[in-house]
This record gives sequence, structure tokens and C-alpha cells, in this order.
Amino acid sequence: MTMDGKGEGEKAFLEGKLSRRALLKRAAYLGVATSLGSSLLAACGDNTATPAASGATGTQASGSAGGTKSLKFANWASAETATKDNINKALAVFEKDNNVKIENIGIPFDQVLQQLTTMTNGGNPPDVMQLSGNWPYALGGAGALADLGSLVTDDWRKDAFTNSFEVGTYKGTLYAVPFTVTPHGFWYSKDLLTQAGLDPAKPPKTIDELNQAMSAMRSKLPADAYPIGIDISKTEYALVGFWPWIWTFGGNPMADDGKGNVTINWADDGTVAAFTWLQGLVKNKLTPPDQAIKAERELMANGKIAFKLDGPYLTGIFANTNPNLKTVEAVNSKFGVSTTPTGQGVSKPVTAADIHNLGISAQAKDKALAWKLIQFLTTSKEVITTFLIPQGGMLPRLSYNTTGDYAKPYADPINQAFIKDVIPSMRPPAYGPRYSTAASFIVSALQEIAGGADVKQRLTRLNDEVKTVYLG
Amino acid sequence: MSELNTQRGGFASLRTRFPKYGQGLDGPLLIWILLFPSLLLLCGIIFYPVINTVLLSFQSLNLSEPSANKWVGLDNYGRVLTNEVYGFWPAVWFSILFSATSTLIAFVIGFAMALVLNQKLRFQLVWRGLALTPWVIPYVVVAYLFFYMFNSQYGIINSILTGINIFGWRPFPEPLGWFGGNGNLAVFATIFAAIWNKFPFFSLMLLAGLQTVPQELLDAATVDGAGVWGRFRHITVPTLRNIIMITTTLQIIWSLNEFAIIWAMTNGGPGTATNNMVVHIYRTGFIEQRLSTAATMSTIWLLMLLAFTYFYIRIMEGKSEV
Repeated sequence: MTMDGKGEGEKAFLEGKLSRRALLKRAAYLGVATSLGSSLLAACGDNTATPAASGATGTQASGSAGGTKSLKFANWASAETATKDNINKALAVFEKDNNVKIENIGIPFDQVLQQLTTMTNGGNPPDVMQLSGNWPYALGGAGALADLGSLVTDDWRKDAFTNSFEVGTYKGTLYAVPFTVTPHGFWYSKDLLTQAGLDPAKPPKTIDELNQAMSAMRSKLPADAYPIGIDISKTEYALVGFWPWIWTFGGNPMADDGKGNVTINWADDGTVAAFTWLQGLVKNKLTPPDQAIKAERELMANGKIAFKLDGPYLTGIFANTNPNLKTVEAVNSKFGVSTTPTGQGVSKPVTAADIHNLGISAQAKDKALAWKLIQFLTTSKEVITTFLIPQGGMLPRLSYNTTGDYAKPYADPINQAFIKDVIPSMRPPAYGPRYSTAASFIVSALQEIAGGADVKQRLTRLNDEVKTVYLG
Repeated sequence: MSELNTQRGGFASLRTRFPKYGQGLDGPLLIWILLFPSLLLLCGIIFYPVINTVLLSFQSLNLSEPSANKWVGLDNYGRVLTNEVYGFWPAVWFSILFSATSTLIAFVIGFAMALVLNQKLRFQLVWRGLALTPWVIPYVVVAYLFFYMFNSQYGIINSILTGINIFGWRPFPEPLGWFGGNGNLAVFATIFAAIWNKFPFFSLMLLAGLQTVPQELLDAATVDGAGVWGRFRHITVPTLRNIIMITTTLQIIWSLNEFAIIWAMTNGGPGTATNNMVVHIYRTGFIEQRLSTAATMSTIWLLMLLAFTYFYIRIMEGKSEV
């Protein structure tokens, strides 16, 4: 700009040195540059949305386009090669029957909570979400999930496995319904029991029997085979496998009163006993020192691990891992399932309530349509036969597993043990919005204790860490 | 820029030398229009996230309870720097250990490799290409490669170690739990993987530098009686000083911010044994959902890295002048 306030171009134009065409051309260039700048500045702006504003965004994303409604469904089934095609086939049927377009969002299992949280806070959550473990509590507690209490019929509640609705309920509000029920049962290898001179028809029923069996196995099995597999990875899922042992030894380090108030004592006697037992397992080479659950499944499939807590889907994993275990009959001939051995802390066997469930976003515009998708996913023949049964978990309605058209795949001894013995022993851990944060500290302590850290000292420190998480 | 610093002032001097400069779109307006998109991209990609991170560090945002977010001033800084529960200092120390060790050893191996590759060898191009292989493999692939190699149950490292038998003496009768125990073996494994991945970078850069060392200088030194070590110490290294400064600075900073290798191999475990700063920040922000705490750690780490880079370059420049 010149001192008199006129731009060089304008001045030149007024003095007749610049043609009108040239002036307009320059103005056009400037306009394009300015609008580009505005767009980029907008992109730099804050995208934090209030729940109400987010709802509006969600409306556009999951509303109707050209007369066809659309729904966003986030799940890990679509992100896994083994299940991707099956869930897609089933969803295609729903799309056709309901004139709905499903936007299928596949998220790897270990990123689901992080992605759902980010999408929700970004104002663009999926309408329906596949959930697991603590996620209904984390998302429900943060206000991201809708209350499904009024949508669930009494028939379903009466026809459900023990605690399968409870693990989707936080502070009395139902945020998630069961999709597939997959708690850990006590798997045992009949071959390795026989090899150790033990009766393959009589798996250990108590911790004392388990310890005796493991000692016998250690002396008779080769060095690369282990009596038991404990997941010692730095993942929240490792806790699903260790909670039953903590409870069995009488520990109750985190207890929720149902109103969101959590009592914390990681240094109680039972918890100390459980972690001391774990340390002894590693020290005495009764369990691999550093393996995660996936590696231990492979080891068990190949005759290198005798006992392990794991879900009913292990039959399918064995079939994919070992060519000699291709059929359900083959798996049943080599392995059996029982309940977690009992210890001094419990009168009955116990396992963590680990189920996969379904929730609806609090920001979903068409909750009726979202609920229709959930009903489809939990009751339709397409989903049950092409996805749920091949996946290996128990069906969300108890009767489906025991009578009628779908019951046959669940008639083998292993599935029957899950239905009759393991699932009734399910107990929810102290899930809540801060559980995942606490779990991060707990699995660190679990690894350090397995590696030889002083049990009492480390658990006392863990107690401080977890209290900081909950109390600030 | 020197053209702009004349007595007549920047743009005026340009107009003198280039009579049409400053007329229409050839003037400062054009410069700003051309720079505008880049500046906006910089704003969006670098400055906005940095400013937002700093702002987040003064809040209490936890994604498990986003509605409870509020301004807390310097509270997060106080907690992170003084409360052991936040694990900040152990992560800093491991970052330094990981970075210093892996960079130093990778530098020594890389330099040695560069000296070898600088010789006239048969199939020289093939050897140079092969030497670069570890560097062109993506970090995550390197991490999984070493994760499986070090696996205690079926990794090749344990197979080799347990197979060693020297006249009946077996130093490793049982497989080592590389990712368990007190964490020392996991520290070794992650540093080993990082060294393997990083040394070709030094080889490449130093090999390029070695080809610029004046042959006549080396010949003159030889005539003056300098041996191999003398020529290396007094001619080769001083000539390469600038390259060494730049490559080591870059590699130290990259290693201080290493994520893929550590995350894929150990998740920062066992316990917190291989928890470097970036893994710790990621875990705090995205696994534990404590975004403001993670932002606080990020801000402090950024300042520490800036300070380190400033002093490191000042020190190296000082040596260079000497």
C-alpha cells in the first residue's frame, strides 16, 4: 500500500498504467489466494464440539441420503481377516431388508476404545459399537453411550446368561447388551496330563491339586513345555486372565459398590498371595516368563502348555493353528474345559465376566434404527450362522445355545462345560471409567512381580498408583 | 537477504537493481501470496498442534470424563515433575540411555562400514546396496523381526544360544526370557534392534563425506610420515566433523523420539523397563486417556529436546572453530 492509502495496482489503474483487464486479473488472483487461506485457517480451527453440536454433526453423518438411511457400525470383526467376510455378508442382508446403508468401520481390537473415544469427542461417533470388557463403562461413564434399559425386553433379560447384562450396566444404567459371551474357562491338555502320569479325566479342582499337578508335570515334561500359561503381556487383556486367580486366592483389590465408588487395596493378603504364586510360577519355570496370550495359544495348540484360562473360541483358534485339530471332535479328544480351580478365597469357582457387547451412541440420531441393527445382530439367522457360531463364542440368548436350530454346534463337551459350569461362575471386575487407566499400572506391576520384584513392596506402590488414578 | 540490507532499504535496493521489481505482482505482494499456502500449512501442521498441546497441558482433560475438564494452571507440571506415580523421570533416563547407547554404537559400526565401503572392492555397488538394507526396512517390520528373533520360546537367538556347546560347557543351557525378568534383557534387545536399523544411515552419510576428503592432503600426510591412524585422526575426522555433527544430532533426536521399535517389541515393558518418553506419552494419552498429563509431558520433553539441540550444536560449533 502507498502512503495515500491506495494500493500499487489501484494507483497504476488510476494513472492509466494498468488496463482494466489486468486489474481484474490481479483481483481474481488475490481472491483465490484469500479463499484458499480462509479454508486452511478453518482447517486450523478448534474442532472440539459440544455434545449438542456433535449431535448435529452426527445427524448429517448418519442421516438419510437420497431416501436411503445410513448407520455407522464400528467393530473389530470387520478388521480381522477371519471374520471380515462373514460379518459383511450378514450386514448386506440387513441393508437390503431395511433399505439402509451400513458404513462398516473396522477397528483393530486393541485400538477400539481409543478410536471410539476420539470419534466421540470429535463429534463423529458411530451409531452402533461393538464393545468388550471395560469399554461400556468407560464410554458410558463419559456420556458417550445411550441408555438401552427401556429397549431391552423382559424376555431377553430372562433368557440371558448370568451377569451378561450386568457387565454392560454402570451406576444402574444399561449401556450395552450382550453380543457374544466369552468368559475364560480352565482349559487342560489331556495328552500332557497323561504324559505326566495324571488322569486326563480329572483336571485339578483346587489350587492345591493344581500346584501338585504342575510339580508333577515339571519333572516329567520336556523343558520347552510348560504346565500353565499365564498372560504376562503389558495389555489390559492380561488382567482378564489374572482376575480369576486374584479372587481365587482371596484377593479383592478393587471393588465397586455399584454406584461408582471403588474401594482399593492392592496389598490385601489374598492379592499378595496371588502375585506371590505368579512369581513362583515364573521362577520355577511352570509358566513361560514373557509370553502374551496369542503366543500361549499357539504353544498350547502344539502341546507345549497344559493348563490355561481362555475363552470358548479357543476351539477355532486351535483348528487354525494345528492341522491335527481341524475338527471340534479332534479338539475335544485332546483338550477339556473345567472351571477355575478353587482356593482359600472362594467357596465356588470364579472367572472374569468377559463378554463382547453392543452399544448405541448417545449422539445417534435414529436410535430406533440403531436398535433394529442390534436386534438383527443378536437374533438373525444370518449373523448367528455366518458370524457368531463360526467365531466360537456363546450366543447372546441362553436358549439359542441349548435348544432349537442353533444348539447343535454347542453340544460338544467343551461348549457344554462353558454353558453349564464356566458362564455361571462369571463375576465382573470393578469396571468403571478409570479402570483402563488403573489397568495400565496393574499390568506393569504384574510384569515386574513376574520378573522378580518384591511382591509386598511392589503391590504397596501399585496401591498408591491406583489410588492416584481414582482419587487424583 | 543481503540484497535487502543496503543503506537504501530492502525493497528500494531491489527496485534499483531490478527496475521492474515492485511493480504489480512482481513485488512483495507476490512474495506473500506465494508464501501464504506454505505458511498456512506450517500453521496447521506444526504450530497449531504445538500450541494446542501447550494449552492442553494447563487443563485437566481426561477422555474418560471429558465434561470435567477445567483449567488447572501449572498443577500438571508440578505433579509430573515431582510425583513418582507419573513415571516421568524413569522415562527420561531410559530415553537418554536408549538414544546415547544406540547412537554411539550405530555411529561406530556405521563409520567402520563406511571406511570399508570407501575402499576399492569388487562388486562395490552390491556391497553398498546390501549395507543399506537395514535402513530401508520400515521400523515396524524391524521391530517385529527382532520381536520374533528374541522370542523366548521359538526365537532364533535362543536357538543359537542354547545350541552353543564348547567341549561340554553350555553357557546358555536354558532359553533366556528376553522380554521378562527384571527388564535388562529387554533393554538390550530393543537397543540391539535400534542399532541394526540405524547404522546404515551413518554409513551412507559418512561414505558420502569420505569421498570429499582431499586425496592430496592424505598423500601429503603420508609423505610427512603419518600412519593410518594419524591420517584418520588428523585429516579424515576433522574433514567429516560437520557431517558427524549433523548426523549424530539427527540420530540422537530421532532415537530420543523412538516409538515403533519399542512399542512393537515390548510395549514399554516388562514393567516400565523400556518405557521411553514417547511410548510413555502415548500410553498416558491414548491408553490411559489422560490427555492433559500426556500434553504436559510432551511440552516438557519438547523443551528438553530444544535445549539439548541448542547446546549440542553450540558445543560442536565451538569445537569446529577450534
